[in-house]
Amino acid sequence: MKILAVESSARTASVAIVEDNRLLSEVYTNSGLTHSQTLMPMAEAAFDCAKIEFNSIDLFAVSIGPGSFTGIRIGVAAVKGLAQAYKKPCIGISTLEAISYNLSGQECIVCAVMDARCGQVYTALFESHNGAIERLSSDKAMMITELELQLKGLSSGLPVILAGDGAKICFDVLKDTAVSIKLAPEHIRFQRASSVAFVASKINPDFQDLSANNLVPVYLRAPQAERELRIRNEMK
Amino acid sequence: MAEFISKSPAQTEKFGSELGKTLKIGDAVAIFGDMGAGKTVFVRGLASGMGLKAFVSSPTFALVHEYPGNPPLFHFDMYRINSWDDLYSTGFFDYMDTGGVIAVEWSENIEAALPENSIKVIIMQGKSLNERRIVITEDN
Repeated sequence: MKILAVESSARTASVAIVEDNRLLSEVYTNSGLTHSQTLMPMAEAAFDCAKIEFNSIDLFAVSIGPGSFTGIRIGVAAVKGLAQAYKKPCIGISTLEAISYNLSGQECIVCAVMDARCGQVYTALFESHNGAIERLSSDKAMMITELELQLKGLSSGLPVILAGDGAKICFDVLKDTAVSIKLAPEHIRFQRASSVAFVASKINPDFQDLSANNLVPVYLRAPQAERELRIRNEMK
Repeated sequence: MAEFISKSPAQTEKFGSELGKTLKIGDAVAIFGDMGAGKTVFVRGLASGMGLKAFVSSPTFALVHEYPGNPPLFHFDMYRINSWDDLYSTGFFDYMDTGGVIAVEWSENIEAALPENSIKVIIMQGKSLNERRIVITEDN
């Protein structure tokens, strides 16, 4: 089965083609949010390099959030349009779950974490064990301070590795606290389309409605309630 | 902190242009001021100071106008933005990663979300109807 995966949930963007758990080609960029201009040329390059025809793709997969409003819309709209036009199945994958797959094969707790701005993150915990990934908590938006409490409460004994575009920010805040964490190295830290494809390949299509009509972005509400957007003070 | 007295829209634009000449990628200019203060005129000055040949108008309804250049200028108007969800869906946070200069009218409405090193421009009524007091604050 050939899967085309698209990942454009934040600053990085990538396109990958995976066939039966083998990565045929992957194009990746981390050079600014211009996905509406780069995504399609990247897909074209991925097909050229893999030397396969567009029509031979069996399943489209896309990272549906949480993440950047613009980024997710670009990826989801692109895949939705392609799947509809080519009458192919498509599947939406949690961005955080895809990030956790960057560390599959390791023995660790993966704290997938994305920058939600203003001291907040999108995050979920996964356990990577015996080559499998198991989700420990659902995708949530929270303050970094709240994540700190969550990590302090972990008691599995496995090392905790931060991955995702918010990993560095969290690491810098938490490294001097009582929480014991490691930062995933650059080459496996960020969102990758290949990881999106590997998550997709594990999902049993019998239990999912994979029509393009059902593909929608997932925006997580950030918990800013405690801080007002409009600061109510009189200006001098 | 710098303070200017403007006697006309043309002078307000001139002050904007002076600031525009100093702007570089990643800068954010947060503009505060009431209806008719001259915020859009000030941004028009920013654009010309940055060497952009753009037609600058108020993005009250479009929320953001993009003026291409090197670097480009992204001109926001937050008049109708009332919540974090509203702000998220303007793509404001995404624009900050795009590699340009950001100018934000009605910064009052999103003050908690402004980037830390924003250059603050406060335009106030002066002593007469057509006079404006413009205070520019740069944190660093």
